[in-house]
Amino acid sequence: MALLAPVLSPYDPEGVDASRRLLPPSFRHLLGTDGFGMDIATRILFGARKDLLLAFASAAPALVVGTFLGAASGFLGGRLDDLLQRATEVLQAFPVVLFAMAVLTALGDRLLNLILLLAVINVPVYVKIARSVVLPLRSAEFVEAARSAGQHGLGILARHLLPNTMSPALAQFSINCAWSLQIVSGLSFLGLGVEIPEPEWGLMVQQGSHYLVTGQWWVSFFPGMAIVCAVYGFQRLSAFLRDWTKTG
Amino acid sequence: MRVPRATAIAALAAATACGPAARGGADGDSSTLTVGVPDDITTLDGIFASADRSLEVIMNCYEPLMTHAFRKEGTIRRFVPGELVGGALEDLSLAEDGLTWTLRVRPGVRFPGGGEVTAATVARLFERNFSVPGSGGRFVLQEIGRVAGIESIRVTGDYELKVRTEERNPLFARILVLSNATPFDPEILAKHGAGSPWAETWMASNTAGAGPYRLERWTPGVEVALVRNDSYWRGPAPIGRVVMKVVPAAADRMMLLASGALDVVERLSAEEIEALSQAKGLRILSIPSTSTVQLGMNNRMPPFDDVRVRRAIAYALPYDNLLRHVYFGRARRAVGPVPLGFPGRGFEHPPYEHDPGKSRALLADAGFADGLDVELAMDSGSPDEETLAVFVRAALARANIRARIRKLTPAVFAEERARRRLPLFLDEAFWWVYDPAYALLLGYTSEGFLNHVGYSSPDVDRIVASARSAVGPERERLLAEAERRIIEDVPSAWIVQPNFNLAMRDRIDGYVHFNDHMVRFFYLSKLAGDPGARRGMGR
Amino acid sequence: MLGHILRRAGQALLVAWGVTLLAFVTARLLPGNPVYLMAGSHADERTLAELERRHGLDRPIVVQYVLYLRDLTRGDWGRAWTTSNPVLEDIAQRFPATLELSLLALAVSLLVALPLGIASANKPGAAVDHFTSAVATAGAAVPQFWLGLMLIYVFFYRLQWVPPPMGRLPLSEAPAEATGLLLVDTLLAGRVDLFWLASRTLVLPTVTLAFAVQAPILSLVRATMRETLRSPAVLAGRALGLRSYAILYRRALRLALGPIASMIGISFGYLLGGTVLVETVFSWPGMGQYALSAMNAGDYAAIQGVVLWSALLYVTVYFALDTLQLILDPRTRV
Repeated sequence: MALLAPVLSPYDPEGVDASRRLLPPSFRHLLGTDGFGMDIATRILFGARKDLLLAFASAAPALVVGTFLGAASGFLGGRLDDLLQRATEVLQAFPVVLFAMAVLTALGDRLLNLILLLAVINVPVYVKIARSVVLPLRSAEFVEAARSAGQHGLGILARHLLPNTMSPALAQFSINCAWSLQIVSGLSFLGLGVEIPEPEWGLMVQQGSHYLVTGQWWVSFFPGMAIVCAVYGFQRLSAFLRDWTKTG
Repeated sequence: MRVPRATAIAALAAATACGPAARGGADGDSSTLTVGVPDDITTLDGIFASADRSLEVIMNCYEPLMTHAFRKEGTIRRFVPGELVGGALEDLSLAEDGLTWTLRVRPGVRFPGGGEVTAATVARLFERNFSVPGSGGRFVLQEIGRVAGIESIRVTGDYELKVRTEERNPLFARILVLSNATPFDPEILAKHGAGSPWAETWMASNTAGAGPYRLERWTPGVEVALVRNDSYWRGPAPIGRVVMKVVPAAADRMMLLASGALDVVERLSAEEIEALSQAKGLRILSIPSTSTVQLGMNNRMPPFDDVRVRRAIAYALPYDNLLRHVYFGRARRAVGPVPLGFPGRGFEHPPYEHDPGKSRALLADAGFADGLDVELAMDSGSPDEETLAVFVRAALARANIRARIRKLTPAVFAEERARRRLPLFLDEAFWWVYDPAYALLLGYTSEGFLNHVGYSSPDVDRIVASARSAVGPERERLLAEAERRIIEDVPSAWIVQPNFNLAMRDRIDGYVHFNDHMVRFFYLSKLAGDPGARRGMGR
Repeated sequence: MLGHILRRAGQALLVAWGVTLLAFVTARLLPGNPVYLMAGSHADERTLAELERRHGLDRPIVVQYVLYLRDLTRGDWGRAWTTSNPVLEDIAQRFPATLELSLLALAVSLLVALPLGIASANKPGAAVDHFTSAVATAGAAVPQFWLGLMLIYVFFYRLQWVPPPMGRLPLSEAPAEATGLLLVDTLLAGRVDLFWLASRTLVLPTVTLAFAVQAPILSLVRATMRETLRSPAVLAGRALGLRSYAILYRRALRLALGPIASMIGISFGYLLGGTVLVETVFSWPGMGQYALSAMNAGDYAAIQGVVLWSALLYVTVYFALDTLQLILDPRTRV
C-alpha cells in the first residue's frame, strides 16, 4: 500500500494550504488535516515508505551483525570478547541524541547516513543478548559432543549456538524497529533526521501532540495508529521468522 | 476551523468548577505571582545578558538609569516611544556643545542592603562596562553611545556626573534604558569579589541591584524566585514574590494557565493564543510590536546578490495569507527596514505585494527561468517560525523556487547568521533602541553588526552617517532617503510585525507594556481568590 | 575469579579514558561556536574575541584537551555557560531527578514485565499471551511525548488527580538535600506532606517511561522463558515430577537470567540517556533536559560533562552486572 501511495491519493503530501488548517476528518479529508493544511491520510501513506524503510533497514542489519558478533564474542571469549564488549559499552555509553547529532553533522545529513547511524546504535542490544545466551552454553554437553565429533569452532557456532540466540534476538526486532522510529522523530525535532515538512510518522505525532489540548485530536492520533500498526506488522514478521528458524 | 477549537475550549471552561479558592499556591495567595516560562535564565549580569529570560529578571531586579514614560492607550498602558523619563537618574541634559551630557542622579534610590545610588555608583557602573573583557556593555557604550572610555566620564558632585561623547549623538540618551545601564551595589561586589574586582562569577548567579525585586533563589532548570525590595524608591511592589517556573512544553503552559496553576504565561504561539482567547477567566494581551519577521537573503552570495532575485522573492510571498493563517491577524504587515511604530519614520505602506507573475518574470530576467534551488535556514528554538517556514516554502515553490528547510540549533544559527554564511534564512529583528537611525545604522550599513545579510550600499552608509548627528527635520529627511533606497534594494523580504502576546489570569491587572517586551512585575497586581481556577494544585 | 574481576576493572578505566576523549571530540564536532549566542546580537569582533579568550576557546584544540584532562584530574569539570555553575554542581542537581525517575520506571516495568512474561510463556497462545504481546507492541510503538501529554490532559487537567506538571515539587521548596532523591530526602527530613507531593508528581512520568521501557524487557522475558521452559533441564525436572512453580521459578528463570539481566542493564542505560522527551513534557529538571539545552546552546563544558558522566555510569553498571552474572551463573566463568 505504501508503494501505491502516489496513486491512491489525490493530494500532495507536502501540499500546504493555510486556509485548510486543522480540519477534522471528513469526506474530503479522510483523516483530517494538520497544522499546515496538509492532508493527514496522504502524509501517512507517503510517510510509510520512509518510515518502514528506516525501521527495517536499520534493525535488520543490526540484528544480523549484532547477533553474530555477540555469539562469536561469547563463544570465543578471551581478548576478543573483552575488546568487543568494551567497544559496545563505549558505544552505548553515549547519549544517543548527542552521538547522532555529532555523526550526522560530521558525515552529512542524508538518509543513508541516518540508516547507518541507527543500525550502529541498534547493534549493541543484539550483541549483549546474543552473548548472554551463548556464554552459559559454552561448556554445555552438546557443544562438547560436537567438538569431540571433530567440528570446528565456527561450525559449532553456526549450527548449534546461533539458533539459540535467534528467538530472543527476533523478539527484540520489532521493538527495535519501533525504537528506531522514536529516535528518528526525536532527531527530527532537533532539526536532523527528516526534513520538515516531509511526512514522517513520529514527527507528525510529536507536532500533533501540541494540538491535543486545543481539541484537534486527529493530528496526532492517526499517525500514532500508523506506527502501532507498523510495529505490529514487524512483530508478526519476527514471530514468523522465529518459527521458521525453529523448523529450518 | 473555529468550531472544533471553540467547542474544546468551551468544554474546558465549562468543566471548570466554581470551587473555593484553592489553599496555598497560585490561586489564593495574592502576593505571589507564578509565571510560566519556556526556558531558563543563563546569566544575571547585565553586561553579558542577551537571552530574553535573563534580561527580564535583570530588568526587574535592577533599576535602569532611564526608562520610558507610559500612558494608557485604549485598554492597556503602553510606553511612549521617544519619551524618556528618569529611573536611577533624575534627569539628563545636553550642553551647548552637543557633546557633554550632564547626568543628575536621583537621590533616594536604595539598594536592599540600605546603600544609595550616587554619582560614584554610576561611575562604577560605567567603569565595569568598559573594564570586563567580553562585556557587551562596552560595545553598546562605545559603538552606539559613542563614549570612548572611562576617561570620558567625570564625577562632578555627589549626585552629578558628566559624560562626553565623541560626536553629536542623540542616541546616547536612549541607550541608558538598557540592561547594562543598571547600577549595582559596589559594597556587595566588593564583598564577593574573590579574585576579580568586578565579581563576574558572583554577578552571573546573583543580583545586586536597586530594582523593585531582588533574587531570592535560582534553581537552574527549575525556577527563579524573586522577592520584593522593600527599599525600592517608587515604593514596595504590590506583589511580594514572583516565581518564574520553567515549563518547556507550550501545551503544558496552556493547560497550567487554563487551570489556574500559573498566573502568567510567556511565549505562546499565535495558534495557542488564539485557542486561549476563547477560554474563560483569562486575559489575553496582543499588543502591536516593532519586531520584524523577515526573510534574510545573503546579499554577498549568488544568487541573492542579484537584486532581481531578491525582488522576485519579495513578490513571491503571500503576505495577507500569512498574516491571517499563521498569525490569526495578530500581526501587522511589515513595511521596511524601519518598523511601524518607530518615531519619525516615513513609510507607512508595505512596499511589495504578493505577485507570483512578477516574481517569475524577475527570475527569468535574472537567468533563472527554470527556477532556483535554495536552502532555507531557521532557528529550531522558535517553534512559531516553523509554521511560517513551511508556508513560505510552499509559496516559494509556486514561484518556482524550491527550498529545503534546514533547522539549526540556536547556537549554530547564531554563529552562521553572524558570520553571514546563511544564503536564505528566517529571522526576527528586534531593536532595543527605539530610533530609526539606530535600526538603519546597525542593520543596514556595511559595517553594521546586525547586518546579517551583508547588505552594502556606499550611498546608504553615507546618508546614515550624516543622519546620526543630525537633528530635527534634516534628520528625518535623511533617514527617509536612506529607507527609500534600502526598500528598493530589498536586502531582506520584510514579512510581518507579529504582536507581542501575553496570557494571564483575569485576576491579574496593571500590565504596562515596554518596548523591550519584558514584563515589569512591579506594575502588576493580583486580586485574591480566583473563581475560575481549579483545585488541582496537589498538596 | 578475582583475577577476572580485576582485569575487568582495569579495562573499565581504560574505557573511561577513551570516553573523555570521545566526549571532548563530540563536543567540538558539534557545530556552533557558543560565543555568538552568548554575546547576543549586540556584539562586535572585539567582544567575541574577548569572550573566546574568557572561555578558553582561543587556544589550539590539543591544548584545550590537555587542559581539560588536567582539570578533570583536579575534579574540575568546567563551568557551564548556560547556568554559570560548575558542571559537576549542575549534574549533582539534575542527575538525582533522572535517577529517581529511572529507578522507579525500571522497577515498575519489571513488576509488570516479569510476571506477565513468565505467565505468557507458560501458556503460549492463551489470552494472557496475546495480551502480553499487545502490551509490548503498544509500549514500543506509542510515542512517549504523546503519551505524556495525553496522561497530563486526562489526569491533571480533566480529573485533577495529580499535581500540575511543573517539575518535581511544583510550588514547594525541597527539603535539605541528602541524596537528591526526593522520596528519600523528604522522609529523612520528616516532611511527610512533601513526600506525598513528590510521590504524586512522580506518578505520571514514571508510568509514561515505564510503559516504554517494559516493551523490550517483556518481549525478552517472554521469548527466553519460552526457550528455557523447553530446555532439557526443565523438561527433565518435569519428568521427575517437580511441581510447576519450582520448575518455573527456579530452573527456567535461572537459565533465562543472563539475557534478562543484560536487558535490564541496557534498559537502565536507555533510561538514563533517553528520558529527554518525558522530561520535557513533565518539566522534569533532569539530565536529559540539561543535555538538550547544552546541545542547543553549544555549551561545551556541559556537553562534555554529560557524556563523561553517562559513560562513567555505564561502565560501572556493566561492570556490576557482569560481575553479577559471573556469580549467579557459574557456567559463564572462563
